Amino acid sequence: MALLEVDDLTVQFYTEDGVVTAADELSFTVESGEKFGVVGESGAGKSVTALSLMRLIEEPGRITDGEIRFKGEDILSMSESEVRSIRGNEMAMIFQDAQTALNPVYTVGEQISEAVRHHLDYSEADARDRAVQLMDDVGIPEPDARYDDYPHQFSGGMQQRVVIATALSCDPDLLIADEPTTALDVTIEAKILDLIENLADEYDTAVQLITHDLGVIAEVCDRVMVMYAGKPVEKAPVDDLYYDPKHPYTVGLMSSIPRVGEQRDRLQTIPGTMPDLVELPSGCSFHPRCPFAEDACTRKEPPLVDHETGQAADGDTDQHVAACLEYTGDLVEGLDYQVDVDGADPNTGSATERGRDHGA
Amino acid sequence: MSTQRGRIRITGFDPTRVDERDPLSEWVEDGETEPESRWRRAWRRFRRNRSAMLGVAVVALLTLLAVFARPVELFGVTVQPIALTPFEPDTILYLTPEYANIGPYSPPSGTALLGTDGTGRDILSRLLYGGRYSLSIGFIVVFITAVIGIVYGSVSGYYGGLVDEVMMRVLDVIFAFPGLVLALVVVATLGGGYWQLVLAFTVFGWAGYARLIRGEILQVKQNEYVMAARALGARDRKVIFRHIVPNALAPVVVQASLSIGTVVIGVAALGFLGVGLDPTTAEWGTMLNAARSTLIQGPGATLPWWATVFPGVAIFLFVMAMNLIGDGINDALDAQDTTVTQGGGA
Amino acid sequence: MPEAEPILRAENLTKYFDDSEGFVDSLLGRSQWVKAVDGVDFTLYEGETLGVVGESGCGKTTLGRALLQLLEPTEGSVYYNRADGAGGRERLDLTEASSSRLRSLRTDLQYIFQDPFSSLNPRLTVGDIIGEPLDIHSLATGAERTDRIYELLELVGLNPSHAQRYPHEFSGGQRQRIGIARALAVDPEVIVCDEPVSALDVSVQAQILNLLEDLQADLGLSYIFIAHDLSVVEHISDRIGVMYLGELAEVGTTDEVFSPPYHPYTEALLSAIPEPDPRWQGDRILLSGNVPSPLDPPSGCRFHTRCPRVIQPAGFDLDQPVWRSLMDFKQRLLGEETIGAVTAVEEDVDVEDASRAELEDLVRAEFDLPDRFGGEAERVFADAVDALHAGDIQAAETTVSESFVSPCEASNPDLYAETETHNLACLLYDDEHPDPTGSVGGRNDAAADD
Repeated sequence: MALLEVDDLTVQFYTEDGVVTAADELSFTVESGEKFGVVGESGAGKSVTALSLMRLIEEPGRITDGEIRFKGEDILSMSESEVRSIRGNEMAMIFQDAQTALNPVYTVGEQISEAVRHHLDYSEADARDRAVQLMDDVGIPEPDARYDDYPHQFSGGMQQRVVIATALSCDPDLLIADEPTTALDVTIEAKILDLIENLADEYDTAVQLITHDLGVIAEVCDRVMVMYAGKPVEKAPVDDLYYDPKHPYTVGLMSSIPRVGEQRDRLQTIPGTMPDLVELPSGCSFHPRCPFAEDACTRKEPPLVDHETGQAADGDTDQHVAACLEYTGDLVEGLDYQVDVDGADPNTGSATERGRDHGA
Repeated sequence: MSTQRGRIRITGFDPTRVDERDPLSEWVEDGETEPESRWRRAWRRFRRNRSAMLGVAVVALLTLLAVFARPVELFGVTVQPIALTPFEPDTILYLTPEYANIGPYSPPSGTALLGTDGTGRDILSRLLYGGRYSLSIGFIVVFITAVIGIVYGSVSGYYGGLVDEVMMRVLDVIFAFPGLVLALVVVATLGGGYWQLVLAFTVFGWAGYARLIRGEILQVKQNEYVMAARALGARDRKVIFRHIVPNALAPVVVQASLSIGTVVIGVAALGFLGVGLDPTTAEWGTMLNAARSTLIQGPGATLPWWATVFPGVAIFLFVMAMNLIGDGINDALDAQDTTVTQGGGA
Repeated sequence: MPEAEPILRAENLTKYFDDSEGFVDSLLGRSQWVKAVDGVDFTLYEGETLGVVGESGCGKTTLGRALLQLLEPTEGSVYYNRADGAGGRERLDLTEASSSRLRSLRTDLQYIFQDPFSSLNPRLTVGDIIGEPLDIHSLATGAERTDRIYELLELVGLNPSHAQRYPHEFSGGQRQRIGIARALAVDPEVIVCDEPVSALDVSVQAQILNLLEDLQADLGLSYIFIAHDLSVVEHISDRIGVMYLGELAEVGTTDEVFSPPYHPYTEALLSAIPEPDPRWQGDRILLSGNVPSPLDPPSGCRFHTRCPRVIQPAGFDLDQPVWRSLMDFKQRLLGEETIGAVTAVEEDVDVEDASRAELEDLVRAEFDLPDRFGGEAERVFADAVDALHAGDIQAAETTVSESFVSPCEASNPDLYAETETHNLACLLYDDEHPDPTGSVGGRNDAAADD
């Protein structure tokens, strides 16, 4: 049994402009101890997915369909107090903006020890010891003295460390990190990512890392899900996704990032912008921006299928699945892009010359 | 395994194909919205707010009743001939032989629908007519104070530094006294009367707006479009009036709509204390004051509740309605960007 | 590429901000100065893109604004070589120009802002936003104005029919295009782009980068491109300036600066970029410590408090990471008052009562020091621990601050010319300070504590 299983999760927001389907029949699993990445642009529904896992969706949003099973128990059918005992305890979250995630009127030590006292019934003194130990673990110098400091006395990177310490305080089984390094400088980002990786291994915590940055995913994660307009478009182990992307959106994303050390004059971009979630294009929602789109794409919504067999995704975590009609045999022209890897060793050699000549 | 960067290269994802081909489907990126200005959008939201629209209806009704209560004459010409009220507000009913049976504090009856006051005047007529005082004074005071406050606060906020420091200390002095006490002092010095009351409420009443808009301007000033205007070479005057003040106005509008009610209560309070308008005036608070003595009576006496309840209800209705409107405006202006916007940006 | 006469040249450009709280403080002379930009020199040549990169708080935005006199520089000059219309060029000092002169010069020098949401006035239509510079400088009126607005919208890839819409109806990328159209309306020569893509999604970011490059090619623009994202700067720039704490650490062509990196700070920045390649195995250089406050920047080379390659004093021959850790030990001692500041947290051990040996272990654990590193340094370290054990922090401070002194603390390196186009401020590369360890080009990971 996987640690977290999400089945057909649908989250809708009822706004003035219409119903926004922020997550549309989303399914994925996170194994225990695994690092699972969710990547996509803003408006893809990444954060909404994270919030619904902890049942933190607020009005006007609502989880309209689906099932979320955490250690086999259905989160959506729990009582509010049962969910509360899971939140911050077995499942914890790190937010993008550490500054607003910390309460300015409490000392950082109090905030770290609060969850321990609340969930694990530690005494005041034990909670303090635990908090100091955690602060040391996340690399805050002289934790004993800084226990009584207020958040504003910490730099941005240090604040994010405090948030991580808070999240880890109850030794959670799943850590959801929503853009944990987006607000930080690269030098700090490198350290925070390092920290998350090491602590996750040390505490044997599964991590769901949500980000827009393909570099961060490559660095930390084992498996990735790419989201577009509220739907997953590709799911694969991280190596497969980077060396052999199968969905045109993933391909477009990867070709539009500037990479250090390459000599391209122009970036190949994805034209246009992400559609308004109120009114999605018919068929494949990516078709207005996809260079490989054909008439079929406007009529049929592509299912998430194994790119080799064309069979529907069956939950096998090593499977490489993509939601493109290419893999159901509906495209006439097929996809026409190429992934080259410099100095590819035999292990990765299969990645070159891929993407060509498949489909019909 | 490699330490070389930029090893993965993707070719063939050609965006120009999308631009060059005919659109595959009817779907267009941004077909839906009609251009709509901020204020129009706010108005649309406001109209959808039921309680605010109820407030508007009540205020409109009270205003219409006040206007049509008695004929209006301007420079001897009757511009509004309709008279809704059965009597002149100052008519003492029992002096007319026809209504000799109606005395002071007569309970509501077919003749005097809401009863009569201590002098034997028809309360309904006085209430309708009295709306002219209560309503107009609220709007006039708020208009004048808002204008003064906006100018004062804008200057203070935009120029900052020493100017700001001095101007704000002046405000602190004003804020050190309760507004009603200051108004009381002015009225006590100048005597009662309509314009004296206006003055009493305006002379210090602008301070709240000044502080509000100053804070707002300090914030709007931080926006990059202000820096952008300067980078384009715009002059100070243009920067203030085209870019800063219009974007700082929203909370002032809300504040103004809410304080109309406050002023009306203030006028009523002064009236109730007996220092506002002439005691015979049909202003709502003054009417309450006139009937004040009936509230405390010896045992066995009957309470002429109509003399106090109806003016009180009138004040309550109007203030309540103005607050609903104020909240509605607040929501309409505030909720600018709550809708889920398009992707493509952070 | 660089030619004789630069189009824009900054000399000793300096901007300090007064950090005192309110005017009572400033009246009493209790001013504190934030040294946001501190004596920066650089040149911008016609048609090129100069990237300026650095961490947040390094002063790069202040630099951009001080260049265009949107913030009045505290000191220094900015020379602009203006086309005089007759084929020649006249040199103007922007810091000396009168405010009306400056206003008219705004048609040549423009700015693109970072935040596509706050840089457009929400109450104006897109047409009015783009038309504003035309009105201010009386460049076009009536039908001509409308045509020009349509032309600009098309130039930046927007539909001219959008002129009647308001900014909130557009996505982030589209708004950034509007901001670009506004800057282009006056037909400028130099544009300062202040993090123009950092608020945008990757695919949109690429569109804007391509647009900026196309416009540069078509209109002959010169850019100063400010960003914190090295991969973006590397992609778009011809030359790059690396800023640290208000000073330029290095300036050179993109290749000179990045392949291979010379300056230790550039090297660290570059190594920290997450590579979108799961099998990439490059070494991360994790800098110790935080960016120091610009209120009171470190003495000497401002990077010495974090530099992994900070130079060892004569007579020391330690492994570089050990030396870095000893420097961290010293900084922590000087900065903090308690013994807990320099010891690792260990359950069941109270540092106040710890034995001499336990204390030494805790200090070594906190700074990842090996059991023995030998020589003079070992002796000084032992003395310091002795003092700490005796409870005399003062003495420990004196001991380390007398012996652990890097040349980098003593002298602030000038921008030294490595090649004709490549300048860098680092003692490692300055011939007058021969590197005692001979570790030029050697790369060492620093202790990852901060």
